[in-house]
Amino acid sequence: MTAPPSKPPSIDSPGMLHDAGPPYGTPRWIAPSQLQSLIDILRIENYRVLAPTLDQHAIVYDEITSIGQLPKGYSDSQAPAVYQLTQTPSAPENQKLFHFNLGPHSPKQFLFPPNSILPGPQKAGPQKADFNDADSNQSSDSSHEPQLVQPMAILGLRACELAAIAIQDRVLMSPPFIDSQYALRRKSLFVIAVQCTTAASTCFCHSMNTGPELPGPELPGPELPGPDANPITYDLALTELVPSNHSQFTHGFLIQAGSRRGQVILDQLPSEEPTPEILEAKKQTIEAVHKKIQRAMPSGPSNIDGQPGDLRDALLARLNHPHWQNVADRCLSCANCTMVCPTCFCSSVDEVSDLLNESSIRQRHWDSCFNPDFSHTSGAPVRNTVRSRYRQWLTHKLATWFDQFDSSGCVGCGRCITWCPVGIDLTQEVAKLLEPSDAPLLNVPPRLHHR
Amino acid sequence: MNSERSSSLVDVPNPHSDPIDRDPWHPHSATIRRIDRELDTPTSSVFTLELRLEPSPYADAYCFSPGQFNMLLLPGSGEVAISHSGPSIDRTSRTVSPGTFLHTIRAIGRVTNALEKLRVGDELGVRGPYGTSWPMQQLIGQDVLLLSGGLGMAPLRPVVYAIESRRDDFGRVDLLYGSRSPETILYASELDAWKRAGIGVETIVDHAQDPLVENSPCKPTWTGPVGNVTHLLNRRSSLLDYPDFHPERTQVLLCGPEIMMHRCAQSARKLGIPASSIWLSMERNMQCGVGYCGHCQWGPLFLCKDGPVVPYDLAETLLEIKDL
Ligand SMILES: Cc1cc2nc3c(=O)[nH]c(=O)nc-3n(C[C@H](O)[C@H](O)[C@H](O)COP(=O)(O)OP(=O)(O)OC[C@H]3O[C@@H](n4cnc5c(N)ncnc54)[C@H](O)[C@@H]3O)c2cc1C
Ligand code: SF4
Ligand code: SF4
Ligand code: FES
Repeated sequence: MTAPPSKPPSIDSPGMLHDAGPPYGTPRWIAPSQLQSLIDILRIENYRVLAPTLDQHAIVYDEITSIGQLPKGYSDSQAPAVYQLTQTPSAPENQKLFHFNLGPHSPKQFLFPPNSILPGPQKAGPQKADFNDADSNQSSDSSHEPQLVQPMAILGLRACELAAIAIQDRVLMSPPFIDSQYALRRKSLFVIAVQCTTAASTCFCHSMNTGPELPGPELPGPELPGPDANPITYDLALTELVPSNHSQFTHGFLIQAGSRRGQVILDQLPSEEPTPEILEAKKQTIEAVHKKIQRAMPSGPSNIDGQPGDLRDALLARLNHPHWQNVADRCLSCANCTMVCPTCFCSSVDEVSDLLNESSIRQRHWDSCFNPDFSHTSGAPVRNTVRSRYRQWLTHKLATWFDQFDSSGCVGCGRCITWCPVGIDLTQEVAKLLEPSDAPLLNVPPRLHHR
Repeated sequence: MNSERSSSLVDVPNPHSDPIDRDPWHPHSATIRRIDRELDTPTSSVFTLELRLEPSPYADAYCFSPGQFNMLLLPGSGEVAISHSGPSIDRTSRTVSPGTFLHTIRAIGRVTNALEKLRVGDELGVRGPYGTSWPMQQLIGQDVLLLSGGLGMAPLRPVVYAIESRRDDFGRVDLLYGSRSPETILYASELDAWKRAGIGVETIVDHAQDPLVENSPCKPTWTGPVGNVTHLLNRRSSLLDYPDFHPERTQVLLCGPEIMMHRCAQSARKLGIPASSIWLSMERNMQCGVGYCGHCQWGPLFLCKDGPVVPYDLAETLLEIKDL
């Protein structure tokens, strides 16, 4: 294949699929050892490489330098309130580096860190405050200019996580306001996506139209609607395949580029043209994953034509459904679900002062609509019951997110199901909420279009 | 700054256009030029800050529409959403001072109490202006009913100023103004000037004497009506008393406690005013002002971007739902 002009990868050309097209995206076949070369190249290019690692009985993203740090031979077993790391029992699966699904981490940890410092004066109180406006000195290196971040490469992101990134992009990078700290991290992110080759019992990406297949030139991803939609993006995509009984190939990876800079790096790896057998094995693997996905998000009750109804409208008509109280009786309002969710973006800002109150920084940290104080207004929380807080969370994810961002706020990753200490499963709660009840259906406000 | 823009009526209630800052997190420094004590009762401490932005491109571009708010930052204490309560008008030249504006604040908690301790010359941080504005364009040629409860007068005052400056562009204009007690009527000294400018002003108090002030030595001197603003509004149903009340061409602007706005909006509907002519200024916890922090959500709305001013046809169903 013809190599594209070899231009050094630049951190300001984000890996956008719409950049792609021939000659990008032609799949190649590489040996597992080439992943080490890939990591080395990225590190030479000054990327911090993050990938799944084993830590405290879970698989989480962390910085790696060697493929030896990947959780080879490990798998996970997930169910409501259950996450268990397991050793993959038998060959050839136990050779695999990515035979597991999602851990509690998501790319949110890195693109929108749990704690960050906002621009502003570092001194407390009036008079002493030195706002040192960027206004008066545009080129100043003042403390509230976003710090230069080391570009990150994340290896191992799944289809639903790419969708989650595209959703957070909309929250934090939709004009007119751009969160420049987020934008800086996001634009320098190099994404090496990994095709899921197995599914957890908690996965329901298929019903959210976000997976399990990675999008690709031959398989366009679910483009979020909207005028300036970001297509779901990666720079490189990997599909790990192991031989079955009669296969001619050995353990390896199909690799393809989704961006120009991805192709530039791929061209530096020794690779082969994949055999038809390998391409067929990929197809069968993805079909098998599909079959493994058991959970689904219900759609709204079907309308008169038998078409599935709109879930947004169905939920907003049922804000007084008695089942909200049923969930509230189980929910601990612990906020775990919002912390692990890759799209939840709520945050709070605290002033953190030193003991003498002489200097202070503004710290932004993840917050949750499950915290009673979250809605504190004029002396009291607006949502002072678990019922109202769970209802806010669920209807935001699955209903009002459409009004705000023209997409669902849920990508079907199942993390909130696994990490809920009492195993509350939103797909089942939705099913219950759609059951008939005594509460009359409410008038549903027409969908707003912000974008 | 273009001085006409900041108080003009041609402002568009669309916050999404043309923000001054693309990264909204940067505070801009402003200096306190004047402090007016507005209310000083044992239960109510309200003051107005006149702020002037430090000269900068931001200050040059700064202009707000009535109904919008700023985030005010006091380093070490925190940041709060505060409505614009008026442009600052130069007393001698009668023109709007560039980059200068007023905020009326009730000292009620951590940040607002700290703001109360500031002195003339102190600096604080400003981000904004944010949010939707009152529908100034739509008021032109219409009758206008301003309904205010308590501190709700602060965000409505720029509307009064705008109407005052172009009184002939509007039909009948009335301000129905409720307060807890006679001592807590905000901007009481300005009411006569508003009346002279052709704005009907009716005040009503919950209590002729503040019940929260024990053993008040003064005898009540209040001779006006006692009750809540809804009473003043409902009187309009009497054609005898209000022969020139025309619901179909009346715009209603509501600002006050949520329950008061809800009741008034329902009354206004009963009087025949269309839902799309009724506007509320909603309040929720706000940490960012630009749709990032999630705190101000009210159903599908981010009240910092889609509010605080919301038309009743949008708010009606949401107001009916408890704890939304
Ligand atoms: C759009 C808008 C316009 C406002 N305009 C004015 C105004 O012109 N004058 C005025 O005095 N007040 C106004 N408020 C209310 C003002 O923001 C609160 O009184 C203030 O945040 C209280 O902060 P505190 O730290 O002193 O109180 P605390 O009770 O200590 O509050 C702690 C934190 O909770 C949040 N909070 C508490 N109450 C409110 C509230 N009512 N609204 C938003 N956040 C709240 C704030 O983040 C605050 O820092 C407005 C609120 C909104 C949303
Ligand atoms: S709501 Fe649950 S399943 Fe949906 S994206 Fe968030 S964590 Fe994943
Ligand atoms: S649903 Fe589960 S994880 Fe979420 S707040 Fe309730 S108990 Fe915690
Ligand atoms: S105040 Fe932060 S989202 Fe509205």
